[in-house]
Amino acid sequence: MKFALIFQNDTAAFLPEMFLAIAILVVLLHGSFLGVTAASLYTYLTPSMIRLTSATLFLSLLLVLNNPVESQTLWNAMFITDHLSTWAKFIILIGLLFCVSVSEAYMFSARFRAYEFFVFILGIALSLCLLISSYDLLSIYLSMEFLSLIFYVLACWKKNSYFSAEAGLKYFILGSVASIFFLFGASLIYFALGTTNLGSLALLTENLTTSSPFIYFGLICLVSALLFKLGAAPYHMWIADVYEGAPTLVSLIFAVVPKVAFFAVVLRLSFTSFWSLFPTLWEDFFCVCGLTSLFIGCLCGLGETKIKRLLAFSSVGHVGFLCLGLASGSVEGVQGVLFYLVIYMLTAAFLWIYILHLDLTSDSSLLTFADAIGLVRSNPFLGLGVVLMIFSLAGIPPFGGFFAKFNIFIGLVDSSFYIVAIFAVFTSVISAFYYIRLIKIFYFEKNRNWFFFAPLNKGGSIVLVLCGLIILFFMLSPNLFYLLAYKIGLSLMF
Amino acid sequence: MLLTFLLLVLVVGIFGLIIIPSNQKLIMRQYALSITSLVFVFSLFLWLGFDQSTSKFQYVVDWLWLPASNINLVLGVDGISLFFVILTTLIFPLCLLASWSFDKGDVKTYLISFLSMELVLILVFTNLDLLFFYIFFEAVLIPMFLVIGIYGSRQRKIRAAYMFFLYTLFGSLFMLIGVIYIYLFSGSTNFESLSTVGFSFYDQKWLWLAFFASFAAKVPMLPVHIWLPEAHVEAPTAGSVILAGILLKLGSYGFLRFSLGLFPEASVYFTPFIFSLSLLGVVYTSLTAIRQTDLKRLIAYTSVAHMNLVMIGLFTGTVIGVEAAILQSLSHGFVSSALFLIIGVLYDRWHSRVVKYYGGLTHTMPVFIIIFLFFTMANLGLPGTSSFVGEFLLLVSAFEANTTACFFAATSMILGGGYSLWLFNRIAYGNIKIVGVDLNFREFTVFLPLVLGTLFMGIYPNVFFSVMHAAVSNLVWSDLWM
Repeated sequence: MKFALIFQNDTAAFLPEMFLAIAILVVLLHGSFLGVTAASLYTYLTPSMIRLTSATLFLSLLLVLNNPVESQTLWNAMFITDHLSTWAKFIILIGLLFCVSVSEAYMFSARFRAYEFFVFILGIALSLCLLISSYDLLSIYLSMEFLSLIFYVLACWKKNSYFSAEAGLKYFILGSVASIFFLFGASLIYFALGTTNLGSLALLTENLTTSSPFIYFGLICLVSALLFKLGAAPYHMWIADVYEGAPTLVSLIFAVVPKVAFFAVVLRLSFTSFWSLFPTLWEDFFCVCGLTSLFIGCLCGLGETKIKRLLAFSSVGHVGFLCLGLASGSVEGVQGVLFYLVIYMLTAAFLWIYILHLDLTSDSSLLTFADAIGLVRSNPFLGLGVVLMIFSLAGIPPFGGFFAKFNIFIGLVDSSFYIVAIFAVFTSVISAFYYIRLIKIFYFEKNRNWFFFAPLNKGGSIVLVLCGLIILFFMLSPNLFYLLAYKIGLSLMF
Repeated sequence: MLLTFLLLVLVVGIFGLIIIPSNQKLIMRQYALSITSLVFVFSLFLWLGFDQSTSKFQYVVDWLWLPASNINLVLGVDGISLFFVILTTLIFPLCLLASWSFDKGDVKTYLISFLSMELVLILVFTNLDLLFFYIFFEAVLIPMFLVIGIYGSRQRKIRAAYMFFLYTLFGSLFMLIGVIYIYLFSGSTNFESLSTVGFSFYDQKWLWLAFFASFAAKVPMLPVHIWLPEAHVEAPTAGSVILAGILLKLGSYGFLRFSLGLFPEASVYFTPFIFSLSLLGVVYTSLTAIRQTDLKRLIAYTSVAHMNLVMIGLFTGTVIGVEAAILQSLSHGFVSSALFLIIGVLYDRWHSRVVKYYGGLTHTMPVFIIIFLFFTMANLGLPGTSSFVGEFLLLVSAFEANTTACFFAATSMILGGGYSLWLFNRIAYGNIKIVGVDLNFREFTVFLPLVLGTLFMGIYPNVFFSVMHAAVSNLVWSDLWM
């Protein structure tokens, strides 16, 4: 590392992360000084916290976009800035902005008397930014642990709910096991190759002739841990319980935000570092994971009657599609994955904000289908929006979700995975059934009880309108997304 | 330019409907009716300015969509698709007129669903790009699913809506894989470019099967036809009319344009398969129709029979066969829509579709019975009506292709007489089981264009054939086919 250039390259590229770190401290101090009594906590403090957090995230977004350093490794090659990192940080900060704008109503209704929540949001932003820029197995591990600790705490936040405690405990134990596997895999790779830096690993494995069992086993452990955090099958067991038990705002964060970051890490591992292992390891591995996830997602979703668990299993299915996109191993595959991630994030944000609205207007937090009957009568415009979003999630043209699946299929057929594509088609149709069952419940069933017009909270409606417009009118101008995803794919592979 | 204008009028219509308040039902209905009538008049201009001497696409509109991937939205009309567009724009105003007094549920959602269906259908029929054809082909499912599910008459509508959606979706996803393979193989999804690409025989067979999976559910061909009786019965009147009149034509249009156009050798290879399925379909569904006790289900089964006959004509490989198939599709669009509207008239009055409860209607509703008689005769193929022209020429071309097939297809005329005449007799004549008010002016206006259209096509079909001739000849006699 050139010490002379430390301020020119390393610090300059790390401005968003440093800003976020300082902001965490500032927000923490602000909260602890102003929140003297419990009564003043959410009348004075929550609005100002929300504005502070939003302003911080927005400013760090500007810092990310105006990164003066281009495509360099930083901090003794532990971190990197390139197109993928800039773009992924952008997506994550936007996702967190969505979550923060929705949180105001939730804080007031659910009486969340804790300003630390916003400190945690900034902590999530910091850890995800570090995770995305990581270029070394150790820095990946450290950022991942930072993120996971915050997530474990958030999952068991609701102190008067058994479900929340169960969710937090399950997530903690299973997540720790996954992190252990990550470390084990990293140590095996270090043993085999002598370095943990992704760039050096790329150079060392470029012309690998002997197949070393250490590398294979180490990689499988490593990527399994990462896929665990995403919720891919066969590591999906925690998702349904955690998404259901955690407070709905926290489930929103779980569903929307971390997937981009973990997929960025997996992309770096499989496409940059161990690219030469693609025909022998990655194709089969991601195909198996993808097909299992699709299978689990569609079958388990069929039997669910609770909405949050249904969305959890549908997210397993979508992660399956993303793994299949990774399996194709071409630039089209990467383009498809990145594109799908954006579309999925917007759709998931929309649907989870709707679930949040349901949660706030109903008695219990365990939302079954019965809570959602007759949505179209109580709020027709929202009902139409949710129905069209569910069609997009199922992959029906002409909405954005179809184009996402289309790209993944292009990647698959391009690499001649025909049987895999046919299996993905089967599972798409089966999962389409439980999506249109949701629509049936919203639209076709008669509501026995009285219904009242339930207006959506302001922060939520802004986010819903943005996401809705992008997904529903996606077809009018897709150029930007496609070209951006393609550029990032090229920068990753060459 | 004209096509853009057509679509723009519809978009303005949908937007206007959104901003009209929900309680102004009459204004909404009048607005929707005027928009759809305007679109119909403009689509007649398409025919007026159509050049019959060329098989090239006319009124072409080219919008850049993803120039880097060479996928653009190209719209255009040729001899084959012109009449489907005009059929679409004609049926929709009639539907809206017929559902004038339909007050179950939210009128605004109803009208917006119908207008968006019309928009998507016009886009399907005029599309020259394979990907966009697929997109709009699937997009029709959404408003139709909502119409069946919200405005259906009884609880079975949910089952019908699911079956309609899932049968079509299942096949279509296989077609998506086919579309992607074609795109990756040839680098373009534009139909004009693709018609010059020669696929290998092995590729053609698989692609044909993928496209078959999708179009067979729409036609509908025999094993996957179950959704049709369900969906037709449970949908509201106007929904059934759109289903029978236009959505069924999507299947045969798809076969014509894509299976015959892009995969000619595989089409020849699979012709015996299609013939067997279609003949089974014709005979089996005609026989089933005779047994039905529900008016709409009977007509739905006859729809299956007619469309399978169209399939036989398409795969004969002769110009007469393909032209007759198109004419029979159009005629079926008129006749079947009219029959469902007739059932709608009965349902509006007595809210029952059971055949047993109707009898001796001719005594109190003579005008209605005359129209019913006319369309019953059109359904079984009486000379003078369009359906005779279609069926006769289909049998001529089937005779050229395979005389056994022609023999079994000809039984369709006999069985057609069986179900049509028996149904008409039971309802119109016999003991007076029920008395009713005859057709009012609005209902009469709904039937008038259909009667005139059927007669026009039946008496002087050359007007239609001369338009189709160039495009169909180009398709059948292209170097790829021979």
